Amino acid sequence: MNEPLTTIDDAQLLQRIAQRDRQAFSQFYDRYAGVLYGTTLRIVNHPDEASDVLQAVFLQIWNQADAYDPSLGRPFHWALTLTRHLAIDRLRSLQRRYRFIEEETGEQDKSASDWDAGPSEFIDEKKIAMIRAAVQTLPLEQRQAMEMAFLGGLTQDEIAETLNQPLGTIKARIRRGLLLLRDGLKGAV
Amino acid sequence: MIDGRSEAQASLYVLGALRAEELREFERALRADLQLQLLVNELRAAADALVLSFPRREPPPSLKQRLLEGIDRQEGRVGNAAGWSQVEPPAWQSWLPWALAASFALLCLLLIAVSNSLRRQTTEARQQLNDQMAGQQRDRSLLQTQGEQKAAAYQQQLTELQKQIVRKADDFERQRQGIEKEAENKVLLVQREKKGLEVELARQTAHNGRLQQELADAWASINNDRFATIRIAVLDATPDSPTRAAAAGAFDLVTGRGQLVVENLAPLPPGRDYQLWLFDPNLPGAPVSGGVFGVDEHGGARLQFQPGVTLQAVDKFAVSIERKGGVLAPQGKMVLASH
Repeated sequence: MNEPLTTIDDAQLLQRIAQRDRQAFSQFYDRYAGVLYGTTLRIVNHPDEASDVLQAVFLQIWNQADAYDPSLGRPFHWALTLTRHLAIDRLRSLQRRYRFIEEETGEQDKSASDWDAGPSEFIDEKKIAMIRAAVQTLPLEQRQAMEMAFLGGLTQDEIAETLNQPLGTIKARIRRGLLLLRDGLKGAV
Repeated sequence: MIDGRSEAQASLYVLGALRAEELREFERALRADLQLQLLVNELRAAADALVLSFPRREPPPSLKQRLLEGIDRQEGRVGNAAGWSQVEPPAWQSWLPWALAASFALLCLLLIAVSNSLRRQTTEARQQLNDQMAGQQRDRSLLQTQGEQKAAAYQQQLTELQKQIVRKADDFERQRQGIEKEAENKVLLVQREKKGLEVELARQTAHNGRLQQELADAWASINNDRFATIRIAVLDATPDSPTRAAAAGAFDLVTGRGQLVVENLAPLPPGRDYQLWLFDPNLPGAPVSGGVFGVDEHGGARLQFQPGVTLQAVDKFAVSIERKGGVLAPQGKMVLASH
C-alpha cells in the first residue's frame, strides 16, 4: 500500500479505486482523462457535452471499479468502452449522427503534452508515435468506416447507407483496415 | 484457421457494428473457438489504438474538481476535494481522544445498568413465554382430540353414504331391468296387433274390391235400362185452350230432370204464367209443380225443369194458367194435358 501510485499499473489502480482510494482514482484520472476526453470530444463534437460525458465516465469508474474483469481486456479498454457507450448515447440523445472529421492524428493538445502521469501502458510517447504511424498508413475510406462504427455506434447497414456504398464494400473496408492496423501495431501494443 | 468471413465478422464485432442476430451467432461461435478469441483480442487492441492516435485534449481543469466534489457528496464526506494532498489537523483534534475515552467510560457504565435491566426483563419474558407455550400445548392437545373425533365422525358418515350409493345403484339396476322387460313385452304385443291389423286390412281390401265390382255392375245395369226410367208424354189442348195448342214433355226419374216443348199457346195477360204439373201415383193429393213459363209471340216455349221433390213415377203431365210466379197447387184453368 505504500508503493508510490505513479509506479503501479492500471489494474492495481482499479483495485484500489474499488476500495474507495481517492488518490488512486486521481492517478487513474490523470493518466486517461486526456485521451478519453479527446475521444468523447470527437464523438459528440461539443466541449460542454464532452465534459459532461467524461464526468459521468469517471463517476462510473469510481462506482463500478469492482466490476472490472481483467479477462475481458485491459483497464484502458474497459474505460474506453464505458466512454464510447456514454458518448454515443449522448450523441443519440442529441439526435445527431457521428461526423467523420478528416484530420491529421499526429499532434496533441499543447497543454496536455507535458503530463507526468506515470507508466501507463498506452500513455507512452514512443508507443503513441508508433500507433500514429500505423494509423497514418490506413487508407482514408477504411479509417472512415472503422470510426463510424467504433465511435459513431453505427451498424454496418447504417454506414453503407450513409456512405452510399454496397454493404459488402463496407464490410471489406472494415476488415482490411482493422487487420492492417493490427499488423502495423505489432510491437507497439 | 480462420476464414475471411470470420475475420470480417470479428472486425465488425470489435467495432460494435454487427446486426443483433449476427451478434448472437458470433458470440456463440466465439465461446467455442480459441483461435477466434485470440483474433478478437488482437483486433480489440487495434481498435483501441485507433483512439490513441487522435490528438489528446486536456479536459477543462474544473472538471476534476467537480468530479471529486461529486464523489465526496456521494460518499457522505464533508471536505474539500482538494484534500488529495496532506493537510495539518485542526487544534481541537489534540484533546479529542481524551474526550472520546471519557465518553466511552460513561457509556460503559450506562450499558452495564441497561444490561442488568434487560437481563431481568429477559427472565420475566422467558417465564411468560414458557407459560404461553404450556397453554398452547394444552390447546393443541385439545384441538388434536377434537380433530380426531371429527375425523372419525366424517369417516362414519362417508361409509354410510357409500352404502346408500350402493343400495341406490342396485335399485336403479333392478328398475332398469324391469323397464327393459316391460318394453320387450309391449313390443311383442304391438307386433301381434300389427299382424292382426294387416290381416284385417287385407280382408277389408278384398271386400272393398268386391263392393266396387258390384257397384260397377249395378251402374252398368242401370245404364242399360236408362230409357226405362224416362217418361215421355204428348200434351193436347183442353177445351179451354186454342185447338192448335200442343206440347211434348219428358222426365228422367233417375236424374229428376225434364223438358217441355209447347206450341201455339195464347200469350197471357200481365200477372199470369203458365205452370207445368207432374202427377206421381205414389203421391196422392196435389200434383208436383214443374215450374212456370211464358210463351213467345208465336205461342212457343221450351222449359227445362227439375221439381223440388223426388218422384218415383210420373203418369201424367198438365199445364194450367196461374198467377205470376206460380202456386203450390193448381187453381186456374188447365190448358194442356197428357192422356
